[in-house]
Amino acid sequence: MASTASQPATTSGGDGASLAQRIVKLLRNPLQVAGLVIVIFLVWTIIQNLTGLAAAGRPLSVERIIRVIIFGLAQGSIYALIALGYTLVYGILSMINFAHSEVFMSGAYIGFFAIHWAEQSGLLYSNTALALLITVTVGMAAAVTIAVLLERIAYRPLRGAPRLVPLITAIGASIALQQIFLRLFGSATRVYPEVNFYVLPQLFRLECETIDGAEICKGMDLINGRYDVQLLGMELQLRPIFFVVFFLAVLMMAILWYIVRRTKIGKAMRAVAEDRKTASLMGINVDRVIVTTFILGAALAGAAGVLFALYNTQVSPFMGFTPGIKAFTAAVIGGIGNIPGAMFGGLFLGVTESLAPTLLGMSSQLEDVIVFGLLILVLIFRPTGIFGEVLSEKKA
Amino acid sequence: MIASSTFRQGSYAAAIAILLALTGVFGKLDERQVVTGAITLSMVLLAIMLCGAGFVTASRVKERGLATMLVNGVLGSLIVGAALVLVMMVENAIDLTFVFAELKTDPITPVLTFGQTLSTGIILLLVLSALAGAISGGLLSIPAEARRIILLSLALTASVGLLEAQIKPINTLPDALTLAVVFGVGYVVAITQIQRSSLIRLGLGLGIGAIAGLILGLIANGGGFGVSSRLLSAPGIISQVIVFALIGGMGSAVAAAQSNIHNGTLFGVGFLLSIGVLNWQDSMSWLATLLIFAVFAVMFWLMPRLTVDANSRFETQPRPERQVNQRFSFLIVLLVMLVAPLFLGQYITSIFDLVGLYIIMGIGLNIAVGYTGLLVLGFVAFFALGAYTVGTLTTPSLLTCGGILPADIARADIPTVCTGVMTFWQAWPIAVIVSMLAGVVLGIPVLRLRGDYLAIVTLGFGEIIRLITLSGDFKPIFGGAQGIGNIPVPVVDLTFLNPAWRFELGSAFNIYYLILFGIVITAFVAYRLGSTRLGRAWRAIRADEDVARAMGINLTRAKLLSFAVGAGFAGLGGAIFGSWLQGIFPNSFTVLVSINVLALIIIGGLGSIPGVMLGAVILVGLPEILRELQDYRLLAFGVLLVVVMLARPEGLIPPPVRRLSEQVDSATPQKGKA
Repeated sequence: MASTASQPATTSGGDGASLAQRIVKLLRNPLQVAGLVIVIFLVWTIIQNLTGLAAAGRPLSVERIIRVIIFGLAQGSIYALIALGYTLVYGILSMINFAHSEVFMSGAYIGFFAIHWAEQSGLLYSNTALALLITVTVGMAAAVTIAVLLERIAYRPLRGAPRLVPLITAIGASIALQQIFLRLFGSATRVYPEVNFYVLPQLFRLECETIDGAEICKGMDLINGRYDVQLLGMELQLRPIFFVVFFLAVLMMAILWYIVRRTKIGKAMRAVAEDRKTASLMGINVDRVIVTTFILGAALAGAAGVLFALYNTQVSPFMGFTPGIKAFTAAVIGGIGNIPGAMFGGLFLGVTESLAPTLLGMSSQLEDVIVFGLLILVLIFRPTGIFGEVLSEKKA
Repeated sequence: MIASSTFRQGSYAAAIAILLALTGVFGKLDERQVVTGAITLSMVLLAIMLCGAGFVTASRVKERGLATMLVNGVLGSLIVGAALVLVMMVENAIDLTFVFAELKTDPITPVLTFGQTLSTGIILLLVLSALAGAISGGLLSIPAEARRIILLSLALTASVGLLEAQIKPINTLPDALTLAVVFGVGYVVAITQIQRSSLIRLGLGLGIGAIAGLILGLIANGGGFGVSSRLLSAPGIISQVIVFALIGGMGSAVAAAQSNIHNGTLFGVGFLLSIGVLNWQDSMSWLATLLIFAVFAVMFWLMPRLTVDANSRFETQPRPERQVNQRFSFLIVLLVMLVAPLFLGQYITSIFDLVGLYIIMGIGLNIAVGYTGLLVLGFVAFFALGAYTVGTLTTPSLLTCGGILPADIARADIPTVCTGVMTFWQAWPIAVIVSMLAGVVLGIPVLRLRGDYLAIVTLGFGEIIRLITLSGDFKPIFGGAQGIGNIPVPVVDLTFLNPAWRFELGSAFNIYYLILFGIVITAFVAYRLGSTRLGRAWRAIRADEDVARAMGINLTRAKLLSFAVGAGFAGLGGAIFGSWLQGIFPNSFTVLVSINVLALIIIGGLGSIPGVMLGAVILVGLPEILRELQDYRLLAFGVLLVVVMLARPEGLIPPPVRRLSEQVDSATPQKGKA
């Protein structure tokens, strides 16, 4: 068919090229023309839908869109945290760590036992911050343990094998982990306890009660609160947890970014990703670097698991699958093997998937269809992802 | 004396044992009996755990003499035993049931104490562990071949005991004996006449098989044997003669066959004999267990000896003879498959149907993954497309009623009738074409990408198809979560030949033949395609894309074709699936199906058609038969994937590698230019 289309390089478009040249280049590729048609069609559908809604007397309110975007950012930062694990491992081993979604799940699930213990012992009420910290730590520790075992048992012996082989063990390990959790801890869904984490009573005079004439305020409930806020003349209902998730995720990504860019082990990781053999000749302990990579990815995924469970409350052995696939999609959209790409991809995906059904006027059942459609669309225009530095051209 | 590896290996084994124990596995498996009234499956599991640990630890000190092996074996098993004792004590001391929910219904202690009090049970368990360790240490010191025979026979005997209820009705002891005798006669005759051409040998086998069968039949009908035989009481002397001749012929063909076919057939005979013993004893009594063990032991003792001879006979005969032999073997396998459902019973036949569907899909996916190296993770999408195409085309729907919903027709009393409703035979080619087109449409944007992108895009595509069929937005066409019901069964209408010949392929028996036909066609097409110019191009792409392109292969075209052909096969499988179940639901098409298909071709051996079949039997057939152990099937499946990949990354039956060079060696000059 389009044999010229098999050149990924045609899409990169040099800096010097003028707009006209770019358009000509774009139009020469039938596939991208088709993609363009689809994009135009989508835009047209959105306009149709919006005008239709406005005509019907129920225009889409800005408040709703903002609310959806905020939720999307929170969801997206969870995806981004998981996507970082995929991208780190892919960058170094160029394999899809299919079991990473189970690492995420194990963080949330084991975290449940920690928070349950805190609830039983009363720590959750007497010292909420400490209890939450313990929960997150336990979740991260569980995820890291699982990931290290996984690397040791299922991946390390196969490092020289053909590409399909570690993928199959990854799939097998993923199923096995799900099933071990299911059989060990039972099939009933576990529910995180309701946590009320009040902060800054001085700043947020909320949930106040008058005791003996003095007004005592608990402050803002970071986890479970829902507040109506007047902002720029808009009536917004906000949940602080979404902001917490977003900012914590950004913080963790910043730490990861620092580790990878500024520390010695980060340098070693980049070296191993570039060329494993040469790195080992330079005195880098490749095994240790790979384990570190798994640990970093798993710690992020474990934290993401606990955060996800804090606002979704339900945990089950199968909870990892959908966020896992979406996170991988996010990593691919951003350009797999690329750390900022994974962050961006996650946020982009989270916002798109929560916004698109509203804009397109589809039922939210089709949210995942949009996610994968988006993936195909992105790959048509940028086959190596949005931040598509070609990390491993030798495998192209 | 005591190696440090013993403690390490022992604690690994202990960790696994603790993990399994905490899932309540002992309680769950306690109901299933392996030897009637004596040994339950949980005892077998315990024995495997203890002996396994002893075996591993003892094998690490293998060169240090029997005493060291015994000591380390005992120590290894004791570590596992002690770990289990620890779990029991913890279980009795504190309440574990909140975290380990399964222990609520299946506590560990009552099973592992063998119904004794806790303290007696613990002592018993520890003594047993020491014993198990000693046995496994001792086993290691006997010759390797004897060990192999004992272990394999034990495993097979246990499986027979496990499957007792399902396999018992398959055949009786006289059946099995007759079959073995006739088969053996054919085999021996072929060996004695090995210098003659293979056709003569086949003829001899057929003839002598028929004669031997007739004699046995006469004896049986004269009252020598029991009466409960199916082979010997087949209707009419003619059909008996044909059956026996075929069995004899099979024996003679197998005597000079490749080791795969040879071993498979021999294994089949041994297995039927063991079922015969089981059927004769009526349950897995101790006597039956011993006899079955003996049958398997003899079989495994004989097999390697016979295989070497048979394979050398196969290799030494000239090429055309070899082909005749091979074709005849395939024909026989096909014939056996044709008559098999008559013996297997409804349940096992329906499992065969499912395995068959997976084989069709596996052969399709094998073209994409095995031949061309395109990693496809959402193969179920094409399967679903095939099923839904047949579903919408053979029932009254938006498509077949001229764009009007059937429900509206009923309500509004519109005179339009659904004239577009097709039969299965009209619909399946369309289903195949739709699947292929979907493959092409999906393939164009993604096939130029690297393999891993393809994996995730296809995975997403599989989910897209499932979600679209599930969603309310497309309910008028695909029926939403309720799916499509009342799909008519395929009908073979031969009434113009004989008024009675109208077969509705609705039951497991009838659809079996349709599926078998599908397998034969797809396997044939895949096999032939594999050796065409296109097939070689595929293999070249798999080996190295850049080199393939440099050799002038149009990558996009070859990849697209491979993708589309594979998708078409899946569509065929889906079409059959839809009309077999007479209804399709979105939730039959989960990602687990894709993973199953991928796993079975990889475990079987990428690129090999016999591998696909073996993989399907192992990954689809066995779990279905072991449905009672349902709770652990997926766990075992996941672990199996990891273990097989670690132990045999190339799969169980890898495709013959040197085939092309072999052809060059033996090719005649005229053939050389092809």
